Amino acid sequence: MVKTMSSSEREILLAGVGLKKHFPVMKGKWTRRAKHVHAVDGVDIFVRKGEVVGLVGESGCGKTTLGRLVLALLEPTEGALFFDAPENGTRRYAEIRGDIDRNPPRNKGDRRFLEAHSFEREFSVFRFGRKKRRHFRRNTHIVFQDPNSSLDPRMLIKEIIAEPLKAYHYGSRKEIQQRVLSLLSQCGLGPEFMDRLPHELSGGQRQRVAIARALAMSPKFIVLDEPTSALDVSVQAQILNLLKQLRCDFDLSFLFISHHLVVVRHMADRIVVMYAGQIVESGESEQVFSHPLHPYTVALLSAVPIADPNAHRERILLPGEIPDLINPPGGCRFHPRCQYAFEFCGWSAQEALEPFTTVLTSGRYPELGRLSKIVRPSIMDSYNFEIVVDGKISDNDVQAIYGAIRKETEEGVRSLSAVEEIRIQPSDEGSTLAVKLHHYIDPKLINVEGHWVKCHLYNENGIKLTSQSQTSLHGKHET
Amino acid sequence: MDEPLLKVEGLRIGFVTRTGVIQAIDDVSFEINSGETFGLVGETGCGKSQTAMAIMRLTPEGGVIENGEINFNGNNLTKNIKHEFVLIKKNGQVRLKRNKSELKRLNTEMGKIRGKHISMIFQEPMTSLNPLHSIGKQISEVVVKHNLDEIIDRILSRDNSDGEQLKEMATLAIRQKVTRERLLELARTKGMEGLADQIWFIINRRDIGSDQKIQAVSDLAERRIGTVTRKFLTTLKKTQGKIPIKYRVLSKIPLVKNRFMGAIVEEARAISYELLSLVDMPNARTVLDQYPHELSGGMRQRAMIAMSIAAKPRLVIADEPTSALDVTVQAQILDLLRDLKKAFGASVLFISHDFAVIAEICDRVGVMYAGNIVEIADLKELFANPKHPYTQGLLAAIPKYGDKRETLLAIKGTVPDLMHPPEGCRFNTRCPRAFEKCTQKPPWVSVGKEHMVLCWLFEDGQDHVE
Amino acid sequence: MESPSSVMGLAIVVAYAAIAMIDFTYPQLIGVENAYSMIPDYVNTVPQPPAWPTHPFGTTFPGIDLYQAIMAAIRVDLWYSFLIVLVGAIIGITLGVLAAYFGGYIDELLMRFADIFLSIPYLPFAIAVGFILGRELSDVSIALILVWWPLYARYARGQALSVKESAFVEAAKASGVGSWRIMIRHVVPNVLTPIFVQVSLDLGTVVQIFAALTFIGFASANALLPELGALISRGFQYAVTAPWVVFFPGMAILVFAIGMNLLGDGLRDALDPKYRTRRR
Repeated sequence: MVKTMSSSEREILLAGVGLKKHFPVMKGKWTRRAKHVHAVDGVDIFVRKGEVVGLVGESGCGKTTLGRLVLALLEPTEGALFFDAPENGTRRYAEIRGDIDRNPPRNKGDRRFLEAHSFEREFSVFRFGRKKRRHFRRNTHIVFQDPNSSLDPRMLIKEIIAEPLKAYHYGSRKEIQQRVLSLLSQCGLGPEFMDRLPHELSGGQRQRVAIARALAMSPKFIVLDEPTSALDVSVQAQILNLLKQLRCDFDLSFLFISHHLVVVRHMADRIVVMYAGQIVESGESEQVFSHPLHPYTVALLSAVPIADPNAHRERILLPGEIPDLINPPGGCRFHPRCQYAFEFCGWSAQEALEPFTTVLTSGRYPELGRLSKIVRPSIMDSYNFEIVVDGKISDNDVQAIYGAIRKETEEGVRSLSAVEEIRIQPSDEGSTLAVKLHHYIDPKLINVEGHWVKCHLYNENGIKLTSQSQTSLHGKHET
Repeated sequence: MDEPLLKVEGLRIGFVTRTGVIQAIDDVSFEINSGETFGLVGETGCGKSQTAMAIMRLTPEGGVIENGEINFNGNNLTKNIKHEFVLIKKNGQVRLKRNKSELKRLNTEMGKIRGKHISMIFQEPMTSLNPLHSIGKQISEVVVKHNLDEIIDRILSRDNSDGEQLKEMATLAIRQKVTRERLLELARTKGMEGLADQIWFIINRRDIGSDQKIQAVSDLAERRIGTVTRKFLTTLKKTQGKIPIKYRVLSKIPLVKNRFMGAIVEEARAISYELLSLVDMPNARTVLDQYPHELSGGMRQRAMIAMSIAAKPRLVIADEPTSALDVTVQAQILDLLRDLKKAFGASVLFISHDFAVIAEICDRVGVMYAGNIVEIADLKELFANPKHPYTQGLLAAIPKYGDKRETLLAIKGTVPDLMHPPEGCRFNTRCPRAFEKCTQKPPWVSVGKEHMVLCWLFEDGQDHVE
Repeated sequence: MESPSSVMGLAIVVAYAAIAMIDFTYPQLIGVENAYSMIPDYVNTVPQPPAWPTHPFGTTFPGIDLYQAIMAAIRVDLWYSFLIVLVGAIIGITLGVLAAYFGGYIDELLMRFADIFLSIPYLPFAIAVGFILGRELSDVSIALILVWWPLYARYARGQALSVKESAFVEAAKASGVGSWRIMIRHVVPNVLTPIFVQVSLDLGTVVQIFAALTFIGFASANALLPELGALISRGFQYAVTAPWVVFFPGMAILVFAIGMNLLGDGLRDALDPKYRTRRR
């Protein structure tokens, strides 16, 4: 993903490659189960100098965790983080990593591994010792969502802002005081706030203090985690204006995390859309907003309410819920809710079984009436299931089933599109229908029309596939 | 109807604290007509939630309705506010003394209204659903309390029905693809009114074919009840829910109770299931027995909505119902609310701080600031011609979906302290167009068709250029 | 600080503290002749009812003036109770914060350790200690400290854990502040405040328990050391005929406990940062 960026832009300041964070699910205090919450599962993200990257997604998509990972406030399960590292090296590293993912090495001595490891060892923030880490911390900071809990309630405002200055031995007491006053004023607060306590300030004022603290050591990169979500609209406007101005004045880079799409559109140059721990789409802000490619992005954008009573929008309502991150859906994580999902998107026997049996039993297809007495359905493995039916099944019946499935798929029951083959097996209890599903494939991030999407609807040439060419995708992926 | 369903006039609410009285609501007046969705928009602390609570007469401890009239469907809910409390001023401190008996009477009276005629949906569904009871139980509770008549009707009419007639009715309904009202009419002519809801529900199921639906409807007649139960229910209907004396003792004994109340409880459960399906709850059957913590935010909100429409209220108050939800879930819920509005024709008081959400669902809007309504207008009119400087400021502060790169116009200053509010117009400390007159209480004037403003700039209905 | 009940509580506690201080320095001020020993009068051994001005609280066996004894005893009781709570708190808080800070098996270890002591009922334990170490007041103190510290350890650990997760701690981390410094500057102060309240409440409780233990038999080598529990024990046999003998010492304990309780409530409100406007 990193490799095909245009070189006319500014250099990369921060790059996270292959980031994964899995939280173990604990039963009681000691027993660590083999289950994990896959909060962030294979994310590459980069921020250029002076750029604002908006990270959007709904609750549970992993954006907050990712925000912590890129500041090394959390240790990753896997992955590397590069800050101010040589750009060529970073690109090369990402290239190698991508290659390793696609073609897993056969032995440990694989040259690619060695090359990647040596780069990582030298430049990845996660491998840094204390000194290098401090240097990293000096150049980065974070502003949290809740202004109430992000300031120590027992400390005076001047102490709160001075804390990073003291940690890095900025200078004498006088110099520190000067700096604090200057920071306060840059953030729109007068010197009278120096000796106040957090609870004496309003939400907007507290957030300003948090911003002042973040700016104290003149960092290059700041993560803003929902900085205005807890504020009123009019206060939000003030804070957003302030952030914009500061960014200009100091040539800062931001990672702006928010679920509020309109705000992100207003602030960000580039946008990254996350779903269930992975990036599904990313690109220039305007491009993604005006021409979203991933079905999730499309649905997300269509769901945003507009403050204009005259605007009419085709709203796409997503069925279902945000997936369980402990056992996320296979293949494309969005497939259970996608209206375009087809056979390679990730359907498993568990998902297809019920819709299949409903086709037989619901009564909507009278030609299948004879098959409605189901003795026992059973799942053989992830791609195969069997249904024992009372009565004899003929080839015509199987054809009728195919027809019914096609109809259902068109009407929106996408799971049935994964049915590859239905065979009849005679058995003692009646007849058995053995259903085989297509094997699914994990989608990869592909560059389409200038931005990146992770979806099977788009092939390497960046063309959106229609239903006919979807089957030709089969051919492409088989190789 | 010509008369508005809800009429609030001159509402004034204060909160008595140790340090003084917070004038949370200064002088609020508005109306809601039948079948309309009225939006109340404003920022934190403007008083919109308290207004809603006042309508339900649920003003919290320490708060008093000092003045004003709240008229719901011709019924004055604030008849006796003067008798309900006494403000004692002692040593510069104000104390509140409540009249217990008056409040008790109020509660009894409101008990008949809350949940049945006016219902409420809250922002945080986790805290407003009882974590110890299953969803089905909670909805059933509401149904049994307010819809006992309906329950009994359903049971008895099933008992009296005839399978063949039902079959006919169902076939007709499906073929003609009737609407709910039409079905009700048809049922009435055949004397099967009590069954209308049940038939409607079955016809609209999406998981079975037409033949099965017809069969299901005709099967309704098969569900008969015993003679004893029938007698009990008929008596119950006459006494309007009060268990007659001769059954009272029996109805307390656990096992015997089931004999009588069993039919009712079961029916209530069926109705709960129907309600959950109405609000598009996925896996409604399983959800009936699940607990709130097992559901996601969107599902909980649906459960709350189901509870609030159970008694077919005339007014639903929704207090920030989607603020705690993700954007995609919010879209689903708003969609649902719109559908329900159409189906039930209820009026909605929709409270939100988000103008975009208001624009999605409201017919008329009132803008609140620091305890006052500063502007009321039709939705389109408000967005096209906002008159009050606060409304204008607020609309300008919202990042617009279309534009980019512009600095947002922010309203300078902060919300005033409601214990010592500014003299006259409460917005005068922040208003870019404030002038001398603003230190006096501004007039409530009309500036257009159904468009009212609380501002000196429009004194004669003209926009004074300052 | 403004509520009348906590002011009264404060008044009571201050009064008791004052008595204790005076006993220590210049006992004659309140009419106590000897602060370290009760003075028996072997002539009039039978307990006398209260009489003004000779014996305002009466006397107990054998002829000890109750007023003097109680006034002197207050110092003793307060001193020991204070010691117990303070030492217990220091041990408990330190261990609790460390457990929260290190986490992992150190946390487990410390907490199991605390659990062991927590599960011991103080009375049998104190008796057991008495059997092993002796019946001195110092031994009682040790027993009570051992029983008391786990409470604080638990409490402190819980508080520390929750503070550790707050946004402002994360912000400090992001600001480059070292872990130890975070512990000391952020976690501990926010942990101490609620514990402080607990400490004040416990003082009242411990006084009662201490007295209870001395009542059942722990005593100092100096049999005439004035101590409230000892006084009650001494007069116990006369309780029916001469109730003042147990009444006054008992009241002394009770009033203190109530006072401390009220004060604790007031402190809880007063220490909430929302009431502080300026510091230093």
